[in-house]
Amino acid sequence: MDTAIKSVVISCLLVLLSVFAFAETTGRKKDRFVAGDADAPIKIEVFSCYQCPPCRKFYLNTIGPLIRDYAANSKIGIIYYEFPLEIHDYARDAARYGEAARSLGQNKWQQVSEALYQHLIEWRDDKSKIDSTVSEVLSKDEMDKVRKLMKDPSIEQIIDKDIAEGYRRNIRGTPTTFIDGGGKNQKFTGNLSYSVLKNYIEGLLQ
Amino acid sequence: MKAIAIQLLHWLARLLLAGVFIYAGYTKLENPLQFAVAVEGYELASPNVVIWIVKLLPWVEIGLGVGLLLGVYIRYTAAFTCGFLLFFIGIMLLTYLRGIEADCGCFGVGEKISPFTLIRDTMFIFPALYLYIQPWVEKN
Repeated sequence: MDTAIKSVVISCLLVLLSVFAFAETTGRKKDRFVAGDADAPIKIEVFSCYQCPPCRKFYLNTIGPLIRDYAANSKIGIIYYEFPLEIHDYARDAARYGEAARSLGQNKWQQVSEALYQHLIEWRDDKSKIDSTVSEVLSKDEMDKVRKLMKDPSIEQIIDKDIAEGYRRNIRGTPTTFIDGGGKNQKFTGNLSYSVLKNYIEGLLQ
Repeated sequence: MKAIAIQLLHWLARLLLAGVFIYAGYTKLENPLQFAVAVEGYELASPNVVIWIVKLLPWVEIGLGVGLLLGVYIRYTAAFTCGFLLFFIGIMLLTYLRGIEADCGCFGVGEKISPFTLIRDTMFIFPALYLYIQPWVEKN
């Protein structure tokens, strides 16, 4: 009888834990959308490093136009995960700015990310230029908020969680992209042009 | 004895090539976007051409594999296989010599073009060549 009660209690605890874990993951994902939202028919998740040249090319030439053409019409939702590579000296510093900008809203994250990728050549050898790059696209108030947020330990925790999520999903390089929509799941690592990705997305939307 | 050896080699060549091409086509159909990344990595084709390559090439490979397996017009299929392999090995070699670090795209993910991939793919020409010259081997 005791064993039966124990089994029931353990089972209930496991179910509760699973529910909490699911709720935490779902809630966390909702906060992570940098364009569009969870209701979009196609969800794109990207693991990216601000200092990696293919990530720069992928954001500026593919993700940027995708945000403009599809996310604005709620056709896709995009989640960006911070995956700063250790081989890049200032990737984590840039990720802190990106993460702090995310809490100001999707538009601010997009502006800051575009600026960081656009000016990568300037800041990749000089950490101080990350701050000046970001301050060019944010107002003084917003910049003050970002600088304050960057001191918050939660920013580091978010980046660590993103990296852990990347390892959990077997990320072997950046950018790695997951596309979920139309009953299909696709994963690819590397840079893909806008035209090719657009063709695939149009196929999913039909 | 010679006839048995010839037939054995014939079947080994057909089964090996059929397996290689069906598997290669399957990996591309399973993950078309990763294959598209590899094709774009060669920096030889425009995005519109890449889209068509991604759509058609896996089926050509599977068709070739099935043709080899069933022995349909085997000499012609073998000749086509030789040309097909030479064409892609040529493109791979050109890309490697240009110093571009592209994925081979031969069998799925993350295999960079290297002397290994070039030699391995070149080896596949020999069974195809054997199937083509087999009638000549039988006569002599």
